[in-house]
Amino acid sequence: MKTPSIFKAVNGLGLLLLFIIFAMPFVWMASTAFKTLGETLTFPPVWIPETLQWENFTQAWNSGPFLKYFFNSVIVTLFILILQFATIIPAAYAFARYNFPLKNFFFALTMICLMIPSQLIFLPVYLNLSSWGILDTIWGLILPFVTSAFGIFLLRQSFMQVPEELLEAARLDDATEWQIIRKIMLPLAKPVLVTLALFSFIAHWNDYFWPLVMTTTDTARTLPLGIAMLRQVEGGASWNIVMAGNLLLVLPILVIFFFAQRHIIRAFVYTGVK
Amino acid sequence: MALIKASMGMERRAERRSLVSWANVRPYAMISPAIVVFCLFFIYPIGYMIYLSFHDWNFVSPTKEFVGTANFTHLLSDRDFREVIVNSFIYTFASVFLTISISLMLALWLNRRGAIYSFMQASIFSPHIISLVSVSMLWMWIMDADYGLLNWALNLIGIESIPWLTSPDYALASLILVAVWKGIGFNTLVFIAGLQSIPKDLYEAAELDQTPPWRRFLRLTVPMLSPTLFFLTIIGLINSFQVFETINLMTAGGPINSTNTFVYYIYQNGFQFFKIGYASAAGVILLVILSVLTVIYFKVLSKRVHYR
Amino acid sequence: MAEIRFENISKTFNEDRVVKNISLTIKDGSFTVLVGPSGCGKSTILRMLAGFEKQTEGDIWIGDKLVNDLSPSKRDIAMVFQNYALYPTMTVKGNIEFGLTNRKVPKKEREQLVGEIAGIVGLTEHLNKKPDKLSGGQRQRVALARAMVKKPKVFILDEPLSNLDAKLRTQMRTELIQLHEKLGTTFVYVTHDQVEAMSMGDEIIILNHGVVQQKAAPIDVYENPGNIFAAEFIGQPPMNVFERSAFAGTLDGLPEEAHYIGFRPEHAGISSTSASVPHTIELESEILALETLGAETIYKVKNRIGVMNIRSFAAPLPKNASCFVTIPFEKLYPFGADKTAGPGLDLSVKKEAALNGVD
Repeated sequence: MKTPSIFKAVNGLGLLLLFIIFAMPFVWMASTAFKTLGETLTFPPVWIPETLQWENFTQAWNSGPFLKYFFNSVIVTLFILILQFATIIPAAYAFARYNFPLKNFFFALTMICLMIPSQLIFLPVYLNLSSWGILDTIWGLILPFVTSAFGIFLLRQSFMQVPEELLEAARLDDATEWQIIRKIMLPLAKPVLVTLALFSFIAHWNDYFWPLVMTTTDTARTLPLGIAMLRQVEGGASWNIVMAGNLLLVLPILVIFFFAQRHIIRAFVYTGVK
Repeated sequence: MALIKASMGMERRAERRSLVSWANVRPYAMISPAIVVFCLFFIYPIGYMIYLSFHDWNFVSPTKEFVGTANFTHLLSDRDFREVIVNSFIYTFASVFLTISISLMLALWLNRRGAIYSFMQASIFSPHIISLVSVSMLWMWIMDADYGLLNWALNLIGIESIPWLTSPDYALASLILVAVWKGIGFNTLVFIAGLQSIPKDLYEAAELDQTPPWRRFLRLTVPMLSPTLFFLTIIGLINSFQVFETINLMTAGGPINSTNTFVYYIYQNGFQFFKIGYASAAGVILLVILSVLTVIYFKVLSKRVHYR
Repeated sequence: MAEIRFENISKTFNEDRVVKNISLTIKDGSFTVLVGPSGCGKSTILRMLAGFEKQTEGDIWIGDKLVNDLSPSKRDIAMVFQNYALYPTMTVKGNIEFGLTNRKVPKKEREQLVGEIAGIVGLTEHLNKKPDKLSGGQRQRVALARAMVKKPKVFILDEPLSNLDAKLRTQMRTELIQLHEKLGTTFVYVTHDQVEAMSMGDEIIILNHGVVQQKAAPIDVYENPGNIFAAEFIGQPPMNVFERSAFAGTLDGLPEEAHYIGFRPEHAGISSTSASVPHTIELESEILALETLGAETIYKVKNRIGVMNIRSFAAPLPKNASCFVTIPFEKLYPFGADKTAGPGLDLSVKKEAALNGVD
């Protein structure tokens, strides 16, 4: 049979092309990060630098208070994660398991907030934060995200799937509502919790827009902002330093992605299909 | 006996009061942290933005002057803003159309078992989890007119270098290209999930009926995939209307306003020109557009639920 | 110690009255079965007893405690749920222990109790497994163990065997009966299966449309059904019941009050030849259909009274053959105009009917 082998060849070629389109930019980033300034300014480009310029990384790191940026990023992301879980879990449980007056109203309110993007309302929020005097602090980066309408929505779905019998059994077993949540609901909702954590972590670790708008000095700036500023610091020419900085930002996420690939893809796709 | 009963009754009532009242308050206590945050950071700002859109304010002056609909009439007669609208629509529809159609083809192609296919799925997904800062800077460097990778590749196949980000003719298209590159992976994987949720027995039945493949695709795959298609289109439109990061980092709205879009325009007017009322009015227009899309989404969604 | 009393209990769900003014006493230490078709209110009664639903009217007493306003956990009851409701993320041990831990029973005592109960239900080797690794019967046992470990005054079992296959169900039935004998606690058992009710209960409460139809020992329910519903609900196939008029010309001299006449399929005889036994109705019949079950045969026959089921232990007759059906007078059950078997319409009536019968 001849057709299958031709088909196989075309298919393989297509896959290779696709791989080049998506992987080459990262290879290019890594390659540039190790070049000398001169090597970035040759055309046609060189792929493998003559000597690996490790000092590009130290130069990038030292061009601003990157340790501070890094800590800000860690603190902001961590606080958002913890506080989101602290607010999402009780709210999702109440929406899923209790009946109370105005429940539908409050749930509709939550759904409306699910639809409001931060890119739309940054200006009035900025004015609010400024009048409360928390502009340019890490609280300005944390507070607007201490809950997530999306998280409440997703977790509520998951809580609603737990059969009522199980809760009745637990109530007969003298379990308090808090014990029911902790010992029965949360273990059952573990996949959704992992999804939410991954989703939230990646979104806020990478976030550039909100820190850009809400910070004016280095006290609260985060890593993505610091990396973005490399271009301005270096006068816009030194691509090797910029790429070294970006590699530092991208590598941890890519490493996590490499190890938790299935989880992360499932998390994102699941939230897409829901 | 009567005494015992009476005292029991009292005990009963007391227990009921304490039990019932906490049980009544508890749900509100549990949702209140979330609701407070929603009100402070979502609901109130929306109202405040609408309020500001009818006022003139420069952020420092102590008074906000009521100007009626002046901000809106001014906006609509502003040539820059008209360009912003046109740019936003071109950017949004082009990037969504391209992303969705390419993703659908890739999904049909890559929806196969085997290590190589899962590896490819992961590869095309990887840009989705990378910070937009890095995506933007990487592509700025790739699209560099003199030393960029893209022009080198074009030269290899005999095409002249293109001033990707520095010419008003190409800049918007370049941004669309980046959006498509970043968005394809996510869309493809959602499509694949949609394909995999189509029951296998439908295909088996079609095979027994000797349905030709193209007909199977049109009559079976497309209708079964239409909810996914619809979802991705609407979410894509809503997200693309809010594009900001790549524009801010790669072109700053230029050259000559050719890549200025909604959110960047609001940002410019608010934070560079301090025209708060004016920026808010632009925000209100964006709010209207996004609301329309959202309403369409839910309308169709509820209809589909009815059909099932 | 734990007699259960329902006093004028009613339950209304959105205008829909599912339980209608029921007063009942469930004897201490009894194995009482609530049985009835779906929607008869048996589950609602059970859930009110457990405290998951609140009755609209009336009082519920468990022992000498009025439990109307007590939360489920304070009622001294334990429940076995239809789908077992085992905590899926906990081990067998964790499941059994959960209630004890919540009640802050000391660890040592807990270990001892769990070990003891696990031994009784035969789960000792499975204590560290998760429920999804167990078979249906084992899960059932975990659910029982979880209920037993609390040493409750009342056991409530909500269709606990409905998820088991036929063979296991029979086995668990016996085990439950033995368990009840061992514990001596009050068992309240809900089922829609009349065979389960008959074989397990020492008292049966038949419910329909939220009203108690009959409350008696199984054999009493069978021999003296309180009304037509009870008569038709218990027994397989159900009792044949005809209006009085169907017997005109066959059985005269029936007392005034007997508006309906019934007889059980197994009390009638079927034979290919006429035998003319005294005090017996004999009907020439045609066999419409038959089910051969091995030890017994169930016929559907047609005669001048109507279509009826006959259950016979004799060798099966051929289909479509004509035959003779005999019904002894003393096995006839008369029912009044309100479909109940009134006290005046008892055996004496049957005897009289037998004497006056045309033969």
